[in-house]
Amino acid sequence: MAASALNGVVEGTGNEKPSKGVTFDDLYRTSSQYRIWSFTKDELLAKRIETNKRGCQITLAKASKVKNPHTLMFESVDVETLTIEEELLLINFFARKAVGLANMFKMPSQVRGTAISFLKKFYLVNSVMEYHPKNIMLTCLFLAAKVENYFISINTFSKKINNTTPESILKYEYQIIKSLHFTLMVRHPFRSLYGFYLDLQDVMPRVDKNVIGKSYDKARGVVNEAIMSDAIFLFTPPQISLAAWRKADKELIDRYLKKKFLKERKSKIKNGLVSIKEEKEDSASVSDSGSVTVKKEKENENDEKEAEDGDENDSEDEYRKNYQKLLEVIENCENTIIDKNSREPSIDEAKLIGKKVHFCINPAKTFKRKREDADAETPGDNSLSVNSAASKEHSSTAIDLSEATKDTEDEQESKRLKV
Amino acid sequence: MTEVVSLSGPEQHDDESTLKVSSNYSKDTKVGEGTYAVVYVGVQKSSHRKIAIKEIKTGGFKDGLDMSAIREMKYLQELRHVNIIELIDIYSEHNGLNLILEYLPYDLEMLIKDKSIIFTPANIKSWMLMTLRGLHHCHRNFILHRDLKPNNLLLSPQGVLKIADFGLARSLGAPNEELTSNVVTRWYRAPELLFGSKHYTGAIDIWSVGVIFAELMLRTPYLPGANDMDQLIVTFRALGSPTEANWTNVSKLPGYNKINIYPPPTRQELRNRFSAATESTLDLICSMLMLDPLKRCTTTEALLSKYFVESPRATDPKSLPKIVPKNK
Repeated sequence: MAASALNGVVEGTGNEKPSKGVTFDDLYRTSSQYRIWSFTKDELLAKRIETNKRGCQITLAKASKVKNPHTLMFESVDVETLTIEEELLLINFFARKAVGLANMFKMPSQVRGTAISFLKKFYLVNSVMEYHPKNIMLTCLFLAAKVENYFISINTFSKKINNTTPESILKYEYQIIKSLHFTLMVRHPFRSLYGFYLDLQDVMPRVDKNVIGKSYDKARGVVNEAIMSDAIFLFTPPQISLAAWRKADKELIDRYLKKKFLKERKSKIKNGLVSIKEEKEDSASVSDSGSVTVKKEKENENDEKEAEDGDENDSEDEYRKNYQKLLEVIENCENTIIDKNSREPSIDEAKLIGKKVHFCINPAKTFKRKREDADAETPGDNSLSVNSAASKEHSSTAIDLSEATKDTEDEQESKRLKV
Repeated sequence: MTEVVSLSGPEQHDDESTLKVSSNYSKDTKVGEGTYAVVYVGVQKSSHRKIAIKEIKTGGFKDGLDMSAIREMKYLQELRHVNIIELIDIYSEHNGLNLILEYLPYDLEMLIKDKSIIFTPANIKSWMLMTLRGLHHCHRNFILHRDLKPNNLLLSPQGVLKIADFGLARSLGAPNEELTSNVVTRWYRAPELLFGSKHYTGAIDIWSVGVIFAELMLRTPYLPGANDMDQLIVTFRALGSPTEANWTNVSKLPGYNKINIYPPPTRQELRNRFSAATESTLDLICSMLMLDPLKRCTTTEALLSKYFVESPRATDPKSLPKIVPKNK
């Protein structure tokens, strides 16, 4: 049978009975993004609690082994571990740094999005107290460029970012891939947003194309925010793109959703059975000045008459229900985009947390430094000063520049200490 | 559980052919070596299932993990289908990666070359069906394979064909994205690629399948160009030269040149070339080998074509001809 020839999921050569078709939703559910990286809110929180807890334990264990180099006795060190909120703030801070760098390299939006996705996923598995996000962020960006077919050689990449070496970036690549459970495919809301942009013009032919275009550009901006939020773990790309667009232009998207998910049903609904008020209004066109004029749309009234037989009463209810559910999901997603988990910290906040992280990653080094400072009573610690050699065009990355090398030293030191 | 990542290079292996690598898999015999990987045959200890291990070389690549390895991992993780090679597991050792793949001892090229084996039309239909189903699954996931050839169509001991080697695969390009045209092994390269097109679709894979289809019937490569220039001549001599009349905007492609204008083959010429082919077989070949990628059929259209409905029925994979294992 021809129908079974299409049905590739069934083993064999098409001599079997046909099964139900495979929908795009079915396909999405086979993706690693759905299988491994989609969560409920509670699951996501549980994962972060677990990772944070482990980060704290590791830090405390490290701190308990700090010895005074002179007396060779264990030192009691004040341990200040990070809260989940602090971890998130620092990740958000460096996610935005990644965006800055991606723009500097003129990378396409997928590379940027994939880098952020890698960074956020990495810290579901590892704690900020184990790996400093400024290092991980750079490697995520380099890896994302390769994954998205936008190859940049490590030398070019490293040269443009002060205080990095090819080695300092490459050394985390393997750990990141492993933390990602070897899943590298990321589906972003950019494509679906573009799809909605095309569909919107089709569904609402009377709305000025320029108006839709401007609205779409605004929506792209919100999508760029959305991919830094937890929405990527909680919603599908089309849900995120609709939510982002609705945040950018509620009026337009509400009309689109009604027309798309309620009115299109009319062709299947018995003549005269339903007349939903809002639907009559949705054929509005927006004039250049932005004011909305409502017009009647004749063609759709004809659609209503092309009714089909069947249990339309039930399906009408069902479509209402589905529409309500869709709205609910989109509203939830909108709230996620702006919730506290996606808050960007101030630079001072980030610096403060950053200092704590240095201590957590290497208590011995920090302790030693504190002692030395106390002993010498001089503030001269070069590695803490901001690298003045940072050129102007790279000033936006000044923070990674000044601190990246210091961290590498820290780790080398810690290795020596372990031995 | 945390693991301290070793920053030293891979530890030294024994020179013995049997290498102990992991508690779950044994790595037995080395069977092949590519630019970025070494392939071993081994056994999954828990199930005693025979497996192939693709050990990805990590040393010596100055830009970190090789792009082909990244692509292979990226796409095989997403594709689960009976006609696509199964990525069973990935494990790491010594800061290196091992892809555990299902064990597929033969490929279609070996069968084509083994002249002691006779292909019936039902056999060819079976291989085509399995190839197209696997490809359909790639395309409906918006993944282009970009290197289809008989050598990359592997066969399980049970005769099931599986598409392998995703080292050149990529996701379908965004509308304005530029793709490299330097893909696909030359003989299976679609005309838009020969002309250096930077925007292409799954139609390039369909072309490759069309050429493989022809090769299955001819038992010899259908369009064996000696070099890139010759490939154009060989292709157009067999299928006619593209013109603005049969392929709108072809002259705007970067590498387009009007070398020799060959007329398209007549139906009778095609019948003579593929003497065993039925009319619907020819129809399907022709629609896969349309010069204009927009006119080429999709996997869906190919699978729904008359060829797969008419008699004979595709051979059951179990009953397909196999390579007789050589004596050791």
